[in-house]
Amino acid sequence: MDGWKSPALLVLDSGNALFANAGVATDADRKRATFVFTVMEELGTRAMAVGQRDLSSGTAFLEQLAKGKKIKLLSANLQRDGKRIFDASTIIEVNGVKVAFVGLTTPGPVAPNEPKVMAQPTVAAAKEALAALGPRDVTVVIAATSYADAMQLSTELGASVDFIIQSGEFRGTQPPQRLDEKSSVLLASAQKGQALAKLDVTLGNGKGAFVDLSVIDRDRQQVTFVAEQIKTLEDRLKLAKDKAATKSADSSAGGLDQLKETLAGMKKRKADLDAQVSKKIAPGSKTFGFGWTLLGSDVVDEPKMKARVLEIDPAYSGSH
Amino acid sequence: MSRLPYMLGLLACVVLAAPPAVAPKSVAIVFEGDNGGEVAPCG
Repeated sequence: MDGWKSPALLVLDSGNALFANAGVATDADRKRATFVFTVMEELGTRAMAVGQRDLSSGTAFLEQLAKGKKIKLLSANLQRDGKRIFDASTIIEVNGVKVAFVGLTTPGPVAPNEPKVMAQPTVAAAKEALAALGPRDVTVVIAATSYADAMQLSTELGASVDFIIQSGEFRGTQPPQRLDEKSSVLLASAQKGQALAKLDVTLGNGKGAFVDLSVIDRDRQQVTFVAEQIKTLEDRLKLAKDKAATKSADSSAGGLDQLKETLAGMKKRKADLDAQVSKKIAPGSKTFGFGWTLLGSDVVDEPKMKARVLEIDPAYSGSH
Repeated sequence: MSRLPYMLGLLACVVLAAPPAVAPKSVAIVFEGDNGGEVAPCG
């Protein structure tokens, strides 16, 4: 695990990491949860939102699990007797970038047999936590809530939050979502470890709104495609001109004119796309890219970790 | 997709193999969610 030394890397968990089911846990479930949390700590996870499926064995179990660990458990809205149980937020500085995280738990009675434990409505709690934050470059809300709740957070918190990372509904690997330019960017978290998300943030001059590089990438792909079409058309035009030189002008003039017109149209399209790309990504822009790494058969077992897994899950067959 | 899915294996095996480039004032936030108690065979 010595690879976690990159100074620009920040490992996070958006919650619902520890238990398969909400509201109930066996001794075997607690053993698995403890193992997962232990390895998350070893991997350098810095913060985690408290989700309902992290509370399946109660708040005391989770508090005990996190005691003395570096992973910061976050929930701005989870309360016991009206008092917050975990920190609402944390600011982590990585490679000169201060990233603020606010954690949220899905509202309601989320801990089994603990009637005094209640997760309050998310928007008000998030606003309060955001207001209390110190200086930061990037603001992230980790919402262990339904996707609908996260979408509401995206619209209601708007530009006060750059990114909302949601867990709790097994949403799979979907691209970044936002209802409009005023909303926060909403990111899902895949499920059951089948994929890992990576959000690459570059501050540039730190001014203006974040530019989504995945959109720029799509525009650039269009530019490449149109450039290829132009090359094909230019080749065809040259061929047509060569043929025309050996025939009467009247028989080939129509075809040549049509080719020239199409070529002119494609060149204009490319010029427009070029302008669009350069406008969106001006020098010094704040940018983000987002992508998924999927767990496939190319990921091989690591013997030491596999041995630890077999202690927890003797039925594990030994292959992905 | 895997028979037994794991986030921890991904963190350890995939990302560690290709750590992100370090540009000034940049950060790569890698994350997982909804792991649901799954455990990892590699790491």
